[in-house]
Amino acid sequence: MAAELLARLDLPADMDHLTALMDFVTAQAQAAGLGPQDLYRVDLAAEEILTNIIKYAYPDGPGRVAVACGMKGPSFVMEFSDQGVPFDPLSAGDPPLSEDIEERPVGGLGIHLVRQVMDQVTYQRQDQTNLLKVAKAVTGG
Amino acid sequence: MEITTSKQGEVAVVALAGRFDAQSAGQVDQSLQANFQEGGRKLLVDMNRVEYVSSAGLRVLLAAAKKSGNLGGRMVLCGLQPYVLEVFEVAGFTSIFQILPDAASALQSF
Repeated sequence: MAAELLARLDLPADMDHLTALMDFVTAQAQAAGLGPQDLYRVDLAAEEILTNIIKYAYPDGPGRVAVACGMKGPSFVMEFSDQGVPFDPLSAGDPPLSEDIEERPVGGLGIHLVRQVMDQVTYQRQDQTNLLKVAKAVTGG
Repeated sequence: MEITTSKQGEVAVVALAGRFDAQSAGQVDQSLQANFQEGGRKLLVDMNRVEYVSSAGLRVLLAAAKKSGNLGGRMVLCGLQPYVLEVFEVAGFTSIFQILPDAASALQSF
């Protein structure tokens, strides 16, 4: 299926619009027939990616974020784009999963969770835009 | 997010219900910090009615567990639903938190 069939929402990248962005993703995933476990994973990946963009993409002022999502073949895909500072989340290493609570950094976990719950995560920087694509094969679970 | 706090003997019980996400994490953080300010050292966080947790929620719990440790107290979690537990496992949090099946067994552990 072609990418232009994905449903798309473009909003200001701030916490006031996080709920609208999340509701949009959830509605698309539900419409695609995802089961509760896949829905949870899609919600989780979307929240982690969106909050990262909202917090870090535009240090110098307001900006926008767009999410496009829907089924592509057997997978539910989401494509997040922003025109903020270049940032490849995949370049960050995994956080230390130390067993010692005192050595655990508070934070740094979001992208780790995304990589674990999604089957594919790819990043591209083109035309002043960060484009992060994730895909989850639908298991029916 | 619905937050219900109560006391069971010396243990402060904070029962959460709903989505523990970037929107609600600050609210939970305030409740847990208020407990420490009031002198509470034994803390049970009942997650039985939490349907969703993201890294924002995990961060709040990790900060509270560290604080509790620094104060010489103890923090226990209970009632994690399967998908919530999966997030704890993926994050490597099952080994650093004390997690018990339900509130009754958690209260007995203090």
